[in-house]
Amino acid sequence: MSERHRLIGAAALCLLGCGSNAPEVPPELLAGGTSCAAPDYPTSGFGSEPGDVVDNDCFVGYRAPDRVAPRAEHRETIAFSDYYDPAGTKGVSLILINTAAIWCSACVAEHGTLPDHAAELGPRGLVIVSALFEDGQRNPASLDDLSRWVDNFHTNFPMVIDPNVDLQAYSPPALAPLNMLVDPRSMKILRKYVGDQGAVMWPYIESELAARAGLN
Amino acid sequence: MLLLLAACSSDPATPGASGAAAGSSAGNGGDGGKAGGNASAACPAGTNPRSAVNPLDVGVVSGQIVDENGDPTTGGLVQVCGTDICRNANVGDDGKFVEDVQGPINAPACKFGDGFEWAKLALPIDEGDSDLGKLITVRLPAYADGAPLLPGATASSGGVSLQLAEEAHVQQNVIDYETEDERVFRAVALPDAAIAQLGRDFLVAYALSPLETRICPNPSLTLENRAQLDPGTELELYMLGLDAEEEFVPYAAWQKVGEGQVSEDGARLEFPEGVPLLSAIGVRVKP
Repeated sequence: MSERHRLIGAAALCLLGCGSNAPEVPPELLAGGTSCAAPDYPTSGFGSEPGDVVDNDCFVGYRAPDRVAPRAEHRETIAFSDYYDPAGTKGVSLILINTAAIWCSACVAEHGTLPDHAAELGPRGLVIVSALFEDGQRNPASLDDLSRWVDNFHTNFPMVIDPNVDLQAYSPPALAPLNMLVDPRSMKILRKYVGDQGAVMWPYIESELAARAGLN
Repeated sequence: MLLLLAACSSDPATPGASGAAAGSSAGNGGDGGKAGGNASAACPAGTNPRSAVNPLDVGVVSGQIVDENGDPTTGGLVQVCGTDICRNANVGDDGKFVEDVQGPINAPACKFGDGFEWAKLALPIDEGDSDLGKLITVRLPAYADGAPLLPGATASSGGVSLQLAEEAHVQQNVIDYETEDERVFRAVALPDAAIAQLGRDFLVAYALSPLETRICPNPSLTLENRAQLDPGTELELYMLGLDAEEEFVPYAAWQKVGEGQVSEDGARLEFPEGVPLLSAIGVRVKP
């Protein structure tokens, strides 16, 4: 999570959780510290709407669950800055940030299709980063939840857990999925889709990748 | 989309042996299964077409969750979900919820009950504001009282029996139901008031669990003749769509999935074609 989110989250957790039964997230499931530092990341213009820069949120998860078994001992810290590509040297043309929850049947349906999209469009520079934030009973997602999820869907793109629901900053509360397209050159939000709007989102991604290929 | 753990008698799933994300079986609840199974063992996909995209502008959805005695309960979860988006409502201790959606949802429905402790049901909702009144859910039997779903065996719970073929494959939702202990068959009859709220003329209805369990070939289904129908009465079997993937029935809708009749001795309702998926089911006399 970003420093800004960390401070907001700490305050929110205290308001919600001090003296209450709010579930506590084990610290090992929260990324932070120097592994999330990204000195070159944009420092201003942050926000949650198109044209705004996304925070450098930082999570625990699996970067390539199709190549490295998604088990706790293989967990990695993954930050949006990993895909920030201002000079175009990383081969990232477009970032799709997705959220999912186990209770969300629309997310389940959507994730049945994402690996095919990743396989087709990954070579053209699309990076999908998906964040699982709650289990089937609205508890914060765990690495075990994530393992079962990626095993089931044969997930072939970076997938993380977001037990603090940091990405809720970009959508109405208790809603999923959210799909947000981000320009890796600037980390500015290009489009935001609340819900699985594949019929309009994927054609946009195709056109954007084609346009960016023309620029490269 | 089924969330799958394949188990079968003739081709037992090998821990950590198949699938793109090969590795140990840890993370599958330590059950030795492998999510996704292998392609040759998987049940064929359902052929029900997905609903056309036709979003409705949903306003405020409100109601109160009560149990079969009419007592308020949080009832697990209350969701306003379509095939494209899902929102969780906060349910008060008085069972009341108010979800201010104010936006388009494709095939919107209110899903209530959680499928773990409570029967999960769905009611389609219309454009604009919807006050759904009292929504009745029913407590499922405890996991400890559930029956294992084993090839060649009969699993019985709550007056419902499933007879699995010797060669049956059982594919289960391993993401929601985390451990083997939770993947046992449980069924509960819905009271008449709960059936009435669903707007159906079913004589009997049941909630089956674990939701989204796919067994192929379909297990034959037998129900107690609670409605005391005459022997030989011809019946229709309906299933509720709770899955946004809509492989077998449309989302949040009831669809006929088979026919049957009352047994000769009048004790049972028999559906030899069975059910393609575990969900809520309802029975009516064939017109």
